[in-house]
Amino acid sequence: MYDEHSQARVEQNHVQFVHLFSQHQRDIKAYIRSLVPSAADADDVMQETSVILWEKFSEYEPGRDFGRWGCGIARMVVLRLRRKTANDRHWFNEELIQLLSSERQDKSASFFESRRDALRECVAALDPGQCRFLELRYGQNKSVEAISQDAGRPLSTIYRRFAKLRKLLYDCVSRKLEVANRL
Amino acid sequence: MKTFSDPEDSNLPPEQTHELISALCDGSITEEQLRLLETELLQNAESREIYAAILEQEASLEWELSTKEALIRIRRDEVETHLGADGVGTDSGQPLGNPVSVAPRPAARWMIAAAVLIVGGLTVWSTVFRAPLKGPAGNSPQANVRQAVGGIQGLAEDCMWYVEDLAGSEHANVAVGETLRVVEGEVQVAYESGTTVVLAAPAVFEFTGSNSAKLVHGKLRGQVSEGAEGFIVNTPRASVVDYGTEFGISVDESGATNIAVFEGEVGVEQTDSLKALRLRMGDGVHLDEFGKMSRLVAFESSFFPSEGDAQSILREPLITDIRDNTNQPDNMKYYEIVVGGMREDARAYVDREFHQWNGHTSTGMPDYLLGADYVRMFNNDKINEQIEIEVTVGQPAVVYVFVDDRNNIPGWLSSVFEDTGDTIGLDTGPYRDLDNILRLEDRTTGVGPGESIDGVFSIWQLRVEIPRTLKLGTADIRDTRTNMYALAAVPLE
Repeated sequence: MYDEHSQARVEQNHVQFVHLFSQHQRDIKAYIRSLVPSAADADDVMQETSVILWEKFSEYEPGRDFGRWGCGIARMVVLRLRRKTANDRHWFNEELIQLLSSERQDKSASFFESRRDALRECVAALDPGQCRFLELRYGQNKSVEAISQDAGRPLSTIYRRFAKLRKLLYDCVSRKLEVANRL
Repeated sequence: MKTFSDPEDSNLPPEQTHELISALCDGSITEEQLRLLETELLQNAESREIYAAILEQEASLEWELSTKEALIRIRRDEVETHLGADGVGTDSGQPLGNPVSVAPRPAARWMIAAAVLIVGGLTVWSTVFRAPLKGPAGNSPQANVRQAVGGIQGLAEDCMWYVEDLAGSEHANVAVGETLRVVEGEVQVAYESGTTVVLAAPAVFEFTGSNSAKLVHGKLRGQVSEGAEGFIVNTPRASVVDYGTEFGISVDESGATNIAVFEGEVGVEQTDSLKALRLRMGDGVHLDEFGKMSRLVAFESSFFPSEGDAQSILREPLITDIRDNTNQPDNMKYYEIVVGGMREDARAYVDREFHQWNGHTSTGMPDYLLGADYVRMFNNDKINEQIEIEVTVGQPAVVYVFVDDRNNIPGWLSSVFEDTGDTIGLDTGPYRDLDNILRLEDRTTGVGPGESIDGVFSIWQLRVEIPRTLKLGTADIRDTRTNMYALAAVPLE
């Protein structure tokens, strides 16, 4: 049973955790997604990681980079889940996971920030039809199959359209960063 | 760890790498393709850069666009979570929940407020953004705007919106400085003057006075009733002064602004210069992020909030762009592409508020046209003897051209298109002349097929198997009382 002090401490910890987790949730999720080929598996890893982060929060040293700590734990969860389910699901091999992980962690927060800023500008410049596809896929979380049915277009056409959109945005972001780096 | 970064070790061309990564993002990648990608990524540092960039891009799109998911998640937990003044979720002695579910997105604190409102049945005012306003309440501008705004309502069941309340929770209406944020769907703001503004999500709309507002971001369709002229909408790049009209404004993240006039007239004053101009029905302008003004040549209807009874159509437009050779500096006319919008009584031209397409007889227009994409052309282009129009058809389609039977058959048409033998009618109703005076007052607009048909148009068709650009010419009119040709398209079966 909690006494008043211990309950207050738990509440304070919880507030602190929520604050830090909400600050770094996006980065941790993006990190996981970069290592896990399946979006559903990435969601499972995120869920598991968040629980472990909370359970281990008492070990977290204030002032330490929470995002880096979170990604470290996420990497362990990825590798653990991979070992458990490698036979029946899509996974990269461990060598590639470690390589992608270390290369991503070498990048600074400003690197990702500038990419995100550029991406916002690129999305804003898309035509209404392209925006509608993005909204369906990411805003309404519809599968490509569902979009294909709604649009009355062959599945292969929708796959091609998203491939084209991703490449278009990638090229746009790259161009913008190149220009920014020259200034 | 053995890795290689020499580009010569690359096995795949970049295009194929992009395709494999895209298949991975869509969940359609096969085991064989995954192994191919894996090998490529292990061997080629450049491919890893592409992979990392696209996966980061994917995560960003999921994060920034998935407002609905966030709202649902927060809404479910709202009962357990109090919101502190800094917008960060806190627990007040309730049992601890799953940390993921109570953690709000820092960049989307406003979503939390929206969730509070939704849970509260859209009547509870957010406490997150509340701060006292200075000045007496009685004769303040806030009081004026409270009287001026009659109501705010969602136009669909799944609509989500809230007001950042600066003045306190006691007031049933909005005050100057308060901001309406539309998270999902379309919301109508009705002013007591009769002016209505429809905002489409995502939109940020600030109440700046009893007869003015600011569109910070998003899309708006305004309708100003007679007697309420002078309503002003400010955007980051321009002020739009209404002179009794219906108009659309969109503002993107960079502040770039598009303005189109559907009926009547508006004045546009640029924010960073003294330049001002008057736009009439069928005119549109684009102000880029630096305020540079140009003609808004063509747009799809969803570019602005929908007309009252229009239904949104979930498919790609068949006609993706239209350009013409009329490049005089004062030419601001636009083409409106209406996706899936062809039906009885559909508005026909951007510069004629009452002209409507209808079946020539009571049996209705040909079935194949119902639900077709069509283009609202500029009817006054009928007298332009130099006009050349380029129409980009983005998907395999049958393209139809409607030609007023009172006109000659243009050579550019008969040489490429074939006559279907079918017809469609035009119900012209009254129209406004160049002095904006309503003419032919004795004519009324009929409802439904075969009613009040004033012109008959032959329907010509062309099968466009491969997406391409078509070139159209003049209307070749015999009489100025006839009409400009028009365009429609349906997917090729």
